[in-house]
Amino acid sequence: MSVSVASSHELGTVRAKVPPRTRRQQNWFPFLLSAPALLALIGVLYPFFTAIYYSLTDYRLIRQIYNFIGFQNYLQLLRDSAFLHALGNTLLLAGVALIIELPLGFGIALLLSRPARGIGILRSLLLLPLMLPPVITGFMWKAMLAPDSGLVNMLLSPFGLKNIAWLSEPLLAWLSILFIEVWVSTPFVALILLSGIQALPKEPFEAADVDGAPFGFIFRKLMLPMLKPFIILVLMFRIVDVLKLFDVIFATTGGGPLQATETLSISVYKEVFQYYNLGYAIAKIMVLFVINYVASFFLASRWRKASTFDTGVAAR
Amino acid sequence: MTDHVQSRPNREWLRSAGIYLAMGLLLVYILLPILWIFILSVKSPSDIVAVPPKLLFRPTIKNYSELFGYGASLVGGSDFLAYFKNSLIVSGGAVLFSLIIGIFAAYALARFNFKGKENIAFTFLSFRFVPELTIILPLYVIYQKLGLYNTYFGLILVYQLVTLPLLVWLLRSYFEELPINIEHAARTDGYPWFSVFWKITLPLAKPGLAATVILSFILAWNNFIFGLILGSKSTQPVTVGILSFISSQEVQWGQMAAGTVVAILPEIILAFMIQRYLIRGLTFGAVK
Repeated sequence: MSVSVASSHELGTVRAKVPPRTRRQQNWFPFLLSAPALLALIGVLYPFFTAIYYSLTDYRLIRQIYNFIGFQNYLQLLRDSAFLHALGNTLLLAGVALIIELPLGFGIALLLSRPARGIGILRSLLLLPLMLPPVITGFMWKAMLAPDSGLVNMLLSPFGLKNIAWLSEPLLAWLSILFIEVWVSTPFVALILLSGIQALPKEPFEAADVDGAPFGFIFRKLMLPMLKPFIILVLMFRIVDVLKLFDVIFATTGGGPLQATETLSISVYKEVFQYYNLGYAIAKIMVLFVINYVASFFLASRWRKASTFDTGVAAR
Repeated sequence: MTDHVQSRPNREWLRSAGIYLAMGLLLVYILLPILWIFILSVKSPSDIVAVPPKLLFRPTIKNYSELFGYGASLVGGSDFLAYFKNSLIVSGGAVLFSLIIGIFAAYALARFNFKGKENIAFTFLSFRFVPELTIILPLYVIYQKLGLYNTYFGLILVYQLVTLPLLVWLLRSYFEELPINIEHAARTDGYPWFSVFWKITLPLAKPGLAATVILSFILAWNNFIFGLILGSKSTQPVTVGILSFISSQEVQWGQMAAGTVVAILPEIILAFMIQRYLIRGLTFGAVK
């Protein structure tokens, strides 16, 4: 479960020294303080291990009895073309979304990093997509994309595009989900990179400016390397979230049409609540768990390495 | 520098025009869907389905009054307040519960060195990265056995997946920023640990504490999947309740839009109150 087990000693910001008087308490006191939260930890680990066990059974919600069947569910996954489709779809959506969100977010961050009239308001408004419940964002875009009464088709009608069924054509539905995901998440990318840009030291950039270095050079040789910890951080949060994308799809297409927008989470939900195959569904979600675990573990360790440079990101 | 600008006034002008154009586009891109849902919420049913969409129309508050149970109530309409109340109870309860069990852990992780400390901290953080379904699918079975299915308490417990890691990590980062010398001085003067924590540490951490609580509340409020799977109508939050406006035959856009506006307004206000702290919060204290 833990993202980091190894290398805890290298996480080191300097911790405050414990005063001499309390040194004797030190052994048990912090554990006493953490005890309630640690109990909650165990409370989460219990269903997690139950999940692992269920994934090795033929548990169906409509039956009381289930049997231990070893790795059969997992072997079945390898032959399940619907599952492989959902897995591929999830990875593709995540990949394309990140390829769009990172440069777009970077551009917005650069735009917002220079002084201009109204820039403060714009920065605040950028928080809006982040704060809305994703499922409600889904409904909002469903209203925007409605074929006859939606705003998007109205705005497109002068260009001769009429009555486009955004959410009921497979390819268009996929692109619509991608677009909504980009709308939701790009502000997050932009705002973190903006924090990064604002934390950059001034001197190297002034020096480069005096020397007349072109912007492309400054960007590649100064800005990108210095922002590396921020970029890795953004990637870490974005990858795990986009891989488990559920709410937006549930609210708009429900995975259809023809499974075109079915991601792993949606497929797991259907497996449980339409087909009642709990054991099999949990095996599916375990695959996502492993992918998320590996991705976040890898990026977390890269991030700690990158943020040991003094770049304004707090290293742990 | 001035020579440079004056020699190429056109280029400079073009540049700032481009910047303002980009800012304008960004503004429209972000605000348009939100404005549209607001417009839908004050349209009458016949204006909503008009093709092409009407931009000039007679605004009405009928959708809102029906939402709160006045007049001819449609599917789900008068239930909206109940969903809203569920959201308040579950999100508020979840934050309170996290605060009570998490604040001391956050302090311990910030101030003491003990064995396994970073492992414990990272295990909390890992909740943020685990797909929620991994935990809630087995809970769907466990909760029904324990009688926690469709109870506020059951939902408050599972919402800890959202609120607890955020609260522990953020509060820890705020506690770490407080100067430890004051606490030392008070301890040396003989004050017991708890009164130092209560009278000195907490008041000093107040702004960070408030921001953390508010952000946890917003994220709990936004949650959809826990209520969808582990609750039914009597405990489900407003994010799930909005679904009831979408029956299989037709979508009641007007009430759905009004419901959306009511559901997001409180948290938008809260979000703007703590906007200085938001990025720090959303990155669990990693970006200060």
